[in-house]
Amino acid sequence: MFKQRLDERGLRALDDIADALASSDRALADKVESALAVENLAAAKWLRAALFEQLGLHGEAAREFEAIPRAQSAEVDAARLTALSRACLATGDWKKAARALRDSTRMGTSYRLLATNARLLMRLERGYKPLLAECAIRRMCRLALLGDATFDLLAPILRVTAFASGIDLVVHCGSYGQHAQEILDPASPLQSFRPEIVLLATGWRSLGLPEESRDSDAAVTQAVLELQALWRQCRERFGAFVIQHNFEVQEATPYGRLSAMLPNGRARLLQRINLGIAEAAAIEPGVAVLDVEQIAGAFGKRRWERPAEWHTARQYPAAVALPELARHQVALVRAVLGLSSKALVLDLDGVLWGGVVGEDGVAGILLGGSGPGEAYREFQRYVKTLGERGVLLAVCSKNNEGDARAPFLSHPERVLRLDDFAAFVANWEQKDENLRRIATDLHIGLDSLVFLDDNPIERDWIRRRMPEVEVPELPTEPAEFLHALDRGRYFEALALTAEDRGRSGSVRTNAARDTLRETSGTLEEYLCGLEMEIDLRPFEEADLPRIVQLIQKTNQFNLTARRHTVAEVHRLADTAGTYTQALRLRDRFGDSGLVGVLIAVRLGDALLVDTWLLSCRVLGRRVPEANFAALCQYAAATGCHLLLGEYHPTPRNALVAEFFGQIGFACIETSPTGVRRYRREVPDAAVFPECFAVQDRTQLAPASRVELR
Amino acid sequence: MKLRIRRVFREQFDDDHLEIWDEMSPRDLPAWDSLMQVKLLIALEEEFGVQFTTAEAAELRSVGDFLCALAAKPTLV
Repeated sequence: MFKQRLDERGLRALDDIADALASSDRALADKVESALAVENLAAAKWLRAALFEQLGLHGEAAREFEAIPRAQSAEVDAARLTALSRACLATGDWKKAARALRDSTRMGTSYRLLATNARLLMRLERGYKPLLAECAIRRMCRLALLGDATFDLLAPILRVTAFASGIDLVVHCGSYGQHAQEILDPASPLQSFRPEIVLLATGWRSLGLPEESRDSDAAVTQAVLELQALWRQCRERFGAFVIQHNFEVQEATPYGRLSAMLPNGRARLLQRINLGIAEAAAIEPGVAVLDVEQIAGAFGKRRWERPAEWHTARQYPAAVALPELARHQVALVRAVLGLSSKALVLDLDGVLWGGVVGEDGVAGILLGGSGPGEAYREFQRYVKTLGERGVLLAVCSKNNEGDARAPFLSHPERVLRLDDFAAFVANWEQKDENLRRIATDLHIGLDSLVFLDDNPIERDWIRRRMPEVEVPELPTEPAEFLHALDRGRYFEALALTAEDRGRSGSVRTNAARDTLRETSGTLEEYLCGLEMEIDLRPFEEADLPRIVQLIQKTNQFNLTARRHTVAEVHRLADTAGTYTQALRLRDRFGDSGLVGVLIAVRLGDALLVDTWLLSCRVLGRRVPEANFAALCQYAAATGCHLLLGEYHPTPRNALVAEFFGQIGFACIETSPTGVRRYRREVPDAAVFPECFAVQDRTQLAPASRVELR
Repeated sequence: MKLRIRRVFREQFDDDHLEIWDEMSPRDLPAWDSLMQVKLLIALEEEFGVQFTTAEAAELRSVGDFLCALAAKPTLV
């Protein structure tokens, strides 16, 4: 047993031995423990750690669990981290416990492990209140789980999965099958819970479709309309974002394949309803569909549902499927909150090709052809497509720069080219330093990075040094890389905007601008040389996805950091007197697209700036002065005398802490939480900086009442 | 086997020092409600690599019941 590779069952057997020893003969347990001290096998270390734990020596147990070498399988490693977390909780080492718990949850896939982790999370929260700041928790979120199943098993799994993604999720579980009543009843507990996100986990049973419908068109329309009505209620009553499950096409049917083939068959109808939901959600602001049909299929439909669990406990899907479901739910919640990862940082040798380019040369590396070379090529294609849909790509490799670049320039089977990468770092320095550099260069936080490396030591290094960075486990088989990365759903998005599709291009043109800056004399000459054109418009329906994306994601130049949802932006924009401004910028190097958002609400004869943000791509180019000039002109034209501003400090927006002061506002109040309030008179004549050609349509819309649906 | 059952109970009730005995039933532990019953069944199934039938799930009401049912399962690992 000691010689075998450890698996989960083996671990439990060791736990049982420790348990039996410690509860029957304490002296013997002590003896075994010291005898094991000289053993170096993983199993012996595990047994010793388990004995320590049984004997109540939690500090020693933690040390021993930590010393066990990394296992071959992620599941065993996750079990080790869970054990480590448990031991650290017992000694009050909260920080280490939280970190181990997070890493274990990111790696683990089994229901049992995640259920254990969920319990440990509760212990952690009981013992340690300031969890938020210390454990890389980025956001608290109130989420209501509603639908026609029981959620008592799902909720804890969902919470711990969210915790591993830096989200402190407060979950409200609806009663079985009561979702419609809870949403509509003004006295239901849901109303006082005030959810930010409503997750409508409706199952196929609730549709009550017969095997063959009489009028399939009517059935499809009715199903979609009923859900649509609930979405609108959620938005109107709570201002909540809605995540809607679509429907699993269940595997067992008396009609066999005909169920999907007959125009009125149940499987066919479910497919049409899923399509209908997708189309309805695409034009409904503040609604996103979770593709449960696809998730269930990928997991395996025979395991996805266990009829016995449904009959006895109204449990759907099966308990074993909950970790998978929760992972996808959290990925979408991250997207809703604007916390999805933004950049993929790749190692080179052993990740994008086989072999070592520094030794084997461009001709010697494995890329393309058949076998493993083909797997690397396919992975490059996956990565390239990620780049095309807006994920920033970066290289971080221990290599000579020339060697590292060569395959992207001259390998005949290459898919990725040098200009697919927004950052390229090849040197012999430690990777944490290089990751920091990459994040700075790309103007994003470390918590937006996903780091992919085939070397477990590098992965471990980054996990320890930079807990904010997502570090997926990478299997030894290159054909599995794609799934290992895909499984994390790091880059889930609500929509694809034109800015997403052009992102890698815009990062490149930024580099060209930097070159111009180096050759220009004064800043003013440089800015004029850019030939910048600014286009200002009130909010328009078509721009809303991008506007909300900016509101959710912008960290540095963001004065109030209010994370309005689509529904809230609608409410604001539809209020009489609100001034809305969406700013687009282009110059001779390219079109940056919609990069600035300003919302000001009317308070008597004053305008209060509710939101003012700029994408970090256009900082240092006097764009705020253009925002401001347009705001002032609007204020003057509509009889406003006073401008009010607020600065809400966050860990990331120190850049604009003094901004209002710099543009002539006077600070009138600083709250205990650090919020500063400002005011200034509306200037008589506000002009745009000379370096811009301006088209300003925000003045045209009287009181900015835009026709938003 | 009792040791393994005890571990499952300790995990599920989140109590590292919980002791179990044959006659122990929901009457002895307030936390042993219907939801806990489901959690116990799922955890025991996983621990012993077995599956309980719907009928068994309704009948198993004490630690002793669990022991008997598990002992009767042929696929114990």
